[in-house]
Amino acid sequence: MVLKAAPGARLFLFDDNCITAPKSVLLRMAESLDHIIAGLAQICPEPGAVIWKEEALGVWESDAFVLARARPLAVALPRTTVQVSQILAWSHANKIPVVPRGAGTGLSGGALPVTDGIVLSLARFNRILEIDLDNRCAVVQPGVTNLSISKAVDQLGFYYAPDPSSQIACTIGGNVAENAGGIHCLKYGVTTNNVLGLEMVLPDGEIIRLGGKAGDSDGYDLLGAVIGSEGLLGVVTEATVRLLRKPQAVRTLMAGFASTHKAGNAVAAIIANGIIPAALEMMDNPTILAVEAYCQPGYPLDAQALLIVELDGPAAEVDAELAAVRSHVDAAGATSTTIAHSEEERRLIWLGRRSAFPAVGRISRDYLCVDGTIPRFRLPEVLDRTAELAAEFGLRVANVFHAGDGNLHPLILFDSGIPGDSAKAEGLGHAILKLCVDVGGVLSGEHGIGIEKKALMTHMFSDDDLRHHHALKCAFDPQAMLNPGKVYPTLTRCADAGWMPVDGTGLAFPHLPRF
Amino acid sequence: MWTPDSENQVFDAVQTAKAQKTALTIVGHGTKKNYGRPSSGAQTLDLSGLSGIVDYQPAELMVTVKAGTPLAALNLELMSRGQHLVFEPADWGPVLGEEAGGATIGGIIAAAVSGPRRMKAGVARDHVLAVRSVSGLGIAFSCGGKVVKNVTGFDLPKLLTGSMGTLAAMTQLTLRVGPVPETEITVVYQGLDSQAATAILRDGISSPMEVSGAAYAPFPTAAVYLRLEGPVASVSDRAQALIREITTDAAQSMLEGEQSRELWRSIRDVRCFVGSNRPLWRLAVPPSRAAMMVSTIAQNLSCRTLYDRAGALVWLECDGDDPGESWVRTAASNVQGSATLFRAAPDLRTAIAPFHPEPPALGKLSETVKMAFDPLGILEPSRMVRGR
Repeated sequence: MVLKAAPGARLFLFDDNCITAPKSVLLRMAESLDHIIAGLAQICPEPGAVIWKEEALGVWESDAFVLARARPLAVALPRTTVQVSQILAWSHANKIPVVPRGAGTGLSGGALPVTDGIVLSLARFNRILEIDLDNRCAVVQPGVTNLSISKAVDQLGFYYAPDPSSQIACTIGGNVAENAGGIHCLKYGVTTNNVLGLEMVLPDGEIIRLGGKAGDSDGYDLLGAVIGSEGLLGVVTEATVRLLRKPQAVRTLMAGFASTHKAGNAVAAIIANGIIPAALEMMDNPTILAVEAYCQPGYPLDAQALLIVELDGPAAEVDAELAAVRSHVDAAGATSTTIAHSEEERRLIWLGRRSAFPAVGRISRDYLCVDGTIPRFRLPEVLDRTAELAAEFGLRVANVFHAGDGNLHPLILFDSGIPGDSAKAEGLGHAILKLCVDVGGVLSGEHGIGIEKKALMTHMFSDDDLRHHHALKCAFDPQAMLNPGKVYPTLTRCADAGWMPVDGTGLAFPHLPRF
Repeated sequence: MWTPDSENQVFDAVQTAKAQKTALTIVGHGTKKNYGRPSSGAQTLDLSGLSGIVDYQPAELMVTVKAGTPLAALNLELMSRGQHLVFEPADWGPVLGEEAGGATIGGIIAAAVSGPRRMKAGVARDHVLAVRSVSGLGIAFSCGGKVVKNVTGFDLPKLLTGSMGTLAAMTQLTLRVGPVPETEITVVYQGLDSQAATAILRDGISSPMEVSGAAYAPFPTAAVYLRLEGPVASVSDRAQALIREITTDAAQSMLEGEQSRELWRSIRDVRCFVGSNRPLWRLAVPPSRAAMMVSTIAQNLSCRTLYDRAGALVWLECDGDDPGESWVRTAASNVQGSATLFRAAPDLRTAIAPFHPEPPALGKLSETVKMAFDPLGILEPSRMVRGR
C-alpha cells in the first residue's frame, strides 16, 4: 500500500511510521558522525561519493512510500564492488546499520533509511557490462534502469521481460530486491524467473556469485532465496538477466462488461481453455471514468468492468488465440469488444491502463495503492467485500488489477486535508490486505512488504513459519545490520531465537563461529 | 523406519530424531537413492504414505499435492483436465538404475528434476509456489503462497527446491500447472558436428518461433532437434518459418505428434545412457561454450554426450570406469559452468563430491544456511556435501 499525493497535494507524515532513534543513540551518533564520514570517505574518495550535509540529505529521506521518512547519518555512493565490500565490512565491524537503495521507486518503504545508519546507494553502478546474444543474456550493474536494458537490445530484436510500471526509473538492483513484476509477467514470469545470476556482497563484506550464464548450478538455490529479499540478505553489485526474442506479433483486445463478475468469468474461461495471454488486465467503472476523463483512450463509459487482453507470439498462433478470446468474452456477455487494428489503437488502449494511477490522482486529492494477490476464482467476492469495507470506512475505492494472476491494486481515495481521513485510508488498506490473506492470497504481489505491511505479516504467517524466515536472515546477516526494521515485525537476535544450541553438545558444525 | 501417513506423524518422527540426535534418510519411492552422496541416516523417514491430491482447480493453474504422491498419478490427473507440469520433470529412474515411473512429486522437487522446456518455461524452482514441511528445527511450517505472484517475505520454496531433504522434510507442495499443447512438431537436422550443431541450437532458440526444446545428440547419428508446440495450424506454420530462417546444408526432416513426444521423453530421461553403470556427468554451461568444453574434455577422456536445453545442459558418459573428475571439473569451471557427477558407484560418490564444489565463501554461507534450518544435522547429513 502506498500513498500517492495528487499533484499539488500536501504531503504528510504519520509519526508512528517514522523511524526515530532515542536520544542517547543520537548523542552517540553526533560523536561518531565524524568517524563515520571519515571512514566512508577513505573507502570512496571520489568527489560527491559521501553525502552527509544536512541540506543534502533531504532527498534521501524516503522512497516512493512517502508516508514514512527518516534521515540517515550519511549516504555513500560507491562505484565498484570492492568499495561496496569495504563499506559493508567496515559497517559490520563498526556495527553501523546499512540500508541499500536503488532508484528509490519502491512502494512499500523498503529503502527507508534508519536514523542511526547509512544509506548505500547503487546509483553509480549504471553500466550495461555485456550483451551476450549467443547466450541470450545481459550482464548489468544494479543501477541500470529496467527499461534501458530492453532499449539496449531493441534493435537486435530482443527485450527484458519484467515491466513494472516504474520501468523508466526503477533499477535492476531494486527489481531484484523486490522481485518486481509488471503487466506482462503472466506469460513471462517476474524478476525471479528472469535473472540467471548475481554478484552479491554479504553483510560482512564477503563477495559471492550466485548462478550465472550457465543457469542451473548445484547446491542450495540461494539465488532464488535472495531475489525478493528486500535488501535484507546482501547488496547486489551485478546481475545477469535473461533476454527474450521479441514476439513476432502482438494483438490487443478490450471488452466492456456489465459487471466485474462477468468480466471475472471471462478471465476464468480464457485461462481454463488453455490460453495464457501476455497480459490480462481489468479495471472497474470508477477507474474507467477517471481514465477516460484523463487521457481519452476511448473506453466504454457504461461498462462496469473493462478487460484488456494482449496476446503475443508467432503470428499464426496469436490470430487463432485472438479468435478464441473473442468468443470467450462474447460468451461471458461482453457489452462491447474492440480489437486494436493498428499500433496507434493498441497504444491508446494501453495508455489508458498505464495512466490509471495518475488519472485516479486527478479525481481525488490523495490515494493509497494497495497491492495484494488472491486466487483468481475469489475475485468476485473480494471485490464485493472490498466495496462493503469501503462503505464501512466511508471511503471510495477504484480498482485496477492484473486479473490474470490475481494481483489486485485497489486505489483508496481519500483527502489528507480532512482530519482522520489518512488513518481511515490506512485502516481500509490493511482490512483489504487481511481479506486477501483470508481468501487464501498473500500480502504483496509485486510491491514487497517493506515497512508498510510488516505489521500484517503475522496475519499471514504463524510464529513457526516466521522462525524459518528469521533462520535464513541469521545465516546471511547474524548481526542484523542490513536494512534493519524491514519486512518482519520483530527480528530477535539470532542467538536468542533458540534454533542454535548453545550448550556445546551435539553441535553439527563445531568449527563455525557462533553468533 | 518411519512410515507416516500424516504431517503430524512426520513431525513426530523429526521430533524423535531431534531428541535422540539420530540422522534421518528421507525417501519417497527411493528412485534417486543413487543420486548425490550416499545417504547416511540411521533411520529412514518414508514419505510415500503421504499420497494424494489435496486441491486441484484447473482454472487456477495450480495443484496442491502431498509430497509422496506418485508423479505418474499426478500426471494422469492433470492430463485428464488437459494440463501438465510445464517444467516437464524427467524420469531419472532408469538412468540411475531404478525402475521407470516410480518417482514421487516430493522427490522430483527435492532433487529439482526438470526437463527440456527450460528455455521457455523454466525449471522446477519456477513452478513451486508453496510448501509445507518439517524443518530440522523440528518445526512444521508453511512457506510461499497459493498464488502465482507473491513477494511476501523470503522465497523459501525456492530454497527448499533442490535441497535434497537436507533442510526440511516436505509434506505438501503447491505447484503451477499449465495447458498441454495441442500438438508438437520437431524439426530434425542430421549429420552435424558440434560446432555447426551449436549454431543451429542458438539460431533456433533465438528465433521468434518459440522453440520449446533444443537438443543435439552426436550419436548414434548426429542430429539437432528443435521442438515447436501449440495449436495445429500454428505449429506447422512455425516449423516452415523456422526452416526458412535457419541456414544450413544439413539434411532436414520432421517428426510430428506422438513421434515427437516420444523423442523428447527419451531426451528428457537421458535414455541413450540407460543400461550402463559407467560414470555419467551432468554439466550446466553457458550454451555457447558447450561444444568447446566438451572438446576439451574429450582430449583427455573418452566419452559420449547429449546436449539438451540448447547446450545449457550437457550429459557426458565416460567410456571407462574412471570419471576423469579433474578434467571434467576443470573444463566446466573454465567456462563458468558446473559439473555434477550424476551417476557413479557409491564409493565414487563418496570419494568425489558429486555436486560441483562451491567457492569457499559460498560454501561457508550454504553451510550456515544448513545449520540455521538443521542445527543438529538430523536431516540427510552429508547428502549433498560431506560434513554438512
